Amino acid sequence: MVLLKGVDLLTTEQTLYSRRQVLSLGRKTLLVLGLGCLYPVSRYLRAKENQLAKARVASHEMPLNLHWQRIGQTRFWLRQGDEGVEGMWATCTHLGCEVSYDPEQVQWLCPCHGSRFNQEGQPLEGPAVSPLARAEVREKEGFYLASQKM
Amino acid sequence: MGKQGNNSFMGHIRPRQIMTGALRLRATFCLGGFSFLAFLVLTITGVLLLFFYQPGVEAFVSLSELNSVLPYGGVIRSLHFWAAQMMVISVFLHMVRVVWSKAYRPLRELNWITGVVLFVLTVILDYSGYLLRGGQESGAAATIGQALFTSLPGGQALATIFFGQPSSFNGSTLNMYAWHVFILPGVLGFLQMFHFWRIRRDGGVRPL
Repeated sequence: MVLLKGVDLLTTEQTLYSRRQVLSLGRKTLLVLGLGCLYPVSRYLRAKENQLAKARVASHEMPLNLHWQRIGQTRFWLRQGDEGVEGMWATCTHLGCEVSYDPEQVQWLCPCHGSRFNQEGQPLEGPAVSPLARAEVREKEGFYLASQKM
Repeated sequence: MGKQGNNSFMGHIRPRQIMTGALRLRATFCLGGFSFLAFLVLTITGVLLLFFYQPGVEAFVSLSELNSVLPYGGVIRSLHFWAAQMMVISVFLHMVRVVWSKAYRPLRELNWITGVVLFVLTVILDYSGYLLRGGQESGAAATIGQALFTSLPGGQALATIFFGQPSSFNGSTLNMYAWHVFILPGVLGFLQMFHFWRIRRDGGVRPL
């Protein structure tokens, strides 16, 4: 062990790594881990939480009918109303869980605390007391553009 | 660097010599060290959560968004949750080790008492974090906590100080927020430093 030559060792045991080497390796590992965290943390801090949600879907991919249908991976649901396309923002008005529409019961169901809403989004039972929020939907150049209302 | 005299904090945290017996891993299992590591993780992730968490009626909604919408939000929140659970477990095991090796006896009884206070603070912090979620279960847990407080003499006043007056204005998580993010961690951090300093003064373990 070249590194340990001349050092007054407490034990006669041969050691592969000195304590100093292990600690220095540990320090370098912490540094690399810390630098690796910089990107995720900056992404997190730069996120715009209060931005209103938006989504769009090609109208030929989503033939609408009287039942609500979800735009995949979003909280927007669309249906064919009497006066054009209608949109719903599927967020429970109790504590904000995502509700989903059950076409068999013709109701919106909340998985968290059991609130139920009728087809129009009016509360039927459970802790929620206010109706579900509607979303704005526009039809433009073969796309449905949905946006959350304030 | 400050003064390095015999009684100074730094002089004890990085001493020139220590007892050989304290070097063994089996003497401590580094459980106190694990608890402090968890505390550091909790501090960092907690500060990050502060940027988006909203106390009061918005609590549950803001956490739901943090989890599902913000990039890495779920990771940071899960780290905060699991580090908290690990801290409670490792602090408890640390106490079991201290009792097992009879390290609570004089001269070290003051540090044992400090440790008991630290354990209680850790459990209260864990509990208050659960309340800060603002979900339905949090409300149930808060009801139990308030009932426990009011069973004490003068408990009604204590319960009001700790839990606040429930109102539609603050959704009753606002008081808990002040305790959870500022007062309790501040006291915990200060007592921890005192705890570490006492370990060295009483001839305890070496620095890493």
